[in-house]
Amino acid sequence: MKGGALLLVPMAVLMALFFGAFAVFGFVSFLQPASGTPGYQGPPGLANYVRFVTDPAALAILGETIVFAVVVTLASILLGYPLAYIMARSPYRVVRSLLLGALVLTFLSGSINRAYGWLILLGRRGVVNDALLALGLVDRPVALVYNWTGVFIALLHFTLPYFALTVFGSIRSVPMQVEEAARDLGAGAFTTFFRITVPITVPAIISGGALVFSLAISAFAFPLLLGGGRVRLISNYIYDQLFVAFNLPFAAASSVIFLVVAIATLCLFFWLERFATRRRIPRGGAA
Amino acid sequence: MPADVAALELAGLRKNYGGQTAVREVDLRLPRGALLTLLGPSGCGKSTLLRMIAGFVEPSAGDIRINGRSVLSLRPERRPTAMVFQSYALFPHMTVFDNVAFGLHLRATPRAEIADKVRRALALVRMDAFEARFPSELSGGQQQRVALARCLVVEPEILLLDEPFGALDRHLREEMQVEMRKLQRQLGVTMVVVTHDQEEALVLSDYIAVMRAGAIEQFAEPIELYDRPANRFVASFMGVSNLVDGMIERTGRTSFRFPGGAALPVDSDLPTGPATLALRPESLRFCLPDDDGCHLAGTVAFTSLVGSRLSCEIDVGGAVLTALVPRHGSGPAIGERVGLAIAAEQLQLFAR
Repeated sequence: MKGGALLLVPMAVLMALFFGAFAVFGFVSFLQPASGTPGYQGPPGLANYVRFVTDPAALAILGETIVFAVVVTLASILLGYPLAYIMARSPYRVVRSLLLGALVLTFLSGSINRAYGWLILLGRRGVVNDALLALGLVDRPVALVYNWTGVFIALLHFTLPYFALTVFGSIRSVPMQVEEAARDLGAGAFTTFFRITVPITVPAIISGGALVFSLAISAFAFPLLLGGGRVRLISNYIYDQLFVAFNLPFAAASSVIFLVVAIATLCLFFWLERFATRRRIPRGGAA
Repeated sequence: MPADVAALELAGLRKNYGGQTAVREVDLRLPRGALLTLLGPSGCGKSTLLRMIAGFVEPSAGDIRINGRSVLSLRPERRPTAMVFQSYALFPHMTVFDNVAFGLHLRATPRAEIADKVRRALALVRMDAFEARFPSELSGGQQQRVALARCLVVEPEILLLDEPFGALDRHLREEMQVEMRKLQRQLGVTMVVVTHDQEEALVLSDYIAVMRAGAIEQFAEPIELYDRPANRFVASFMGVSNLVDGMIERTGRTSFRFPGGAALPVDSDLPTGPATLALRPESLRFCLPDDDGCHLAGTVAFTSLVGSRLSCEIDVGGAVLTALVPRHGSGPAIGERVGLAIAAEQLQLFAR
């Protein structure tokens, strides 16, 4: 027993370091900035929190971040589910391999690379605008970057593989016979899709949605590079408090608030998942 | 509808996968209210045939007519068929009630009528107490009953069942077979069942189609199939375990010459030459080797107990015959010399 307990020590030290850092950061959020320096001083109080929740600008950024993350999540579901369905159910292996390959490639390329890639594609003299102008669909270039649109497109591209790959496995695990049974009983392909396949895979949709939401709500690089200063999400706001305003305690308080909101939202997702699957998992005592 | 229109008619039905033929030239007519079993070893094309009737597999050639109407142009959801899948394929996210109601909702049945019909269908399969359960809360046998009710409730013109008892244990399987047959008689629904189990086919069927390599080897009523298998394959598949390759000879009278030299007088129109003798173990009887009524003699090579009967392997020289005989005392000893009498009407000969 003693030897076993001893083996836990390295792990305990590691955990203490990781969570200790968070705890210190959390504690700092109750302190005050030392005027004229990047340091902080006592006495502890709730001033930073009060400041955040009474500052309309800060609240607006938090609200916008949540709404934006929700929109990205919904878009990922709407675009990613059909994509995953085609990958899972296409009778042609080539289709599956190509789509999977494209998704994995997206996965492997870094955020910064992709952000600059999008700049080339979506800029005023970018490929997309050139094509639109050449086709005569628009008279002058459309603003696709340095605004919400650009950040949205890039972020959606980033989150799509996470969602599609999460639901892909779930769709594949729905037996073909279950879909055939629905067809056989008189359901067309669309009815079968919406009343059988989608509801059965709801748990995966929620898990994938939660994943996308966490990625979107904490987005930092895309708004920084493609937002043109107009798009500021909560991560960018916290960054500015740290490295522009040098107000470490206030940055810490903003982070804690953001963390609480994010965790609460994720809890809502998991509660939804439990609700959706409440009767499907065999329980003890069932015949 | 005229009475002579077949409930199900398959005409020249064929399915090729690339160069492989899964089903070849199947012709078949099934009267209304009859139960047909497609019987054969795995890979014989019986499931492909069933899936063609349901509409999941498109035939390469031929026609499928249900009550006189070709259904080839109809997608699965428009066909007047319903299928009980081997895995039951219940909808895991719906209760038993909603599973059964699914087909009725799609037919725009009024809500009150749906509840009524669902409850009647569930009562029919004795699952009315389980309507609020989810499939994961049911045993295999219960799931199968629900799958059956889900099909019956939409009143299909043909009910299709793919290996319906395959996943059940032996005891439950036998119980469900009898129950299914009674239900089928009571409702008068035309059914096509796929199975590889010959006993199951005999219990269930009005007609049996024995299939091999995509073709129907014999289409007959169970009794005829049991008593008069059309060829060696059907005989062996139907449990005729004594199959001996020998010669038909005509020297004054017709006889079958065993490979070991023994001759058995037979009554056959087959030409002289190579032939196969088919004989059920039950149609062999012991006698004293030198008696008049004795046809063959041999030595007992092996015995084993099968309930009230004894299974004996008799070496008749060049061939070993299995005899299933009533047990008297301890039965013959291994190495004992015995005579065998064969009832002439119970043996069959096939040309080779």
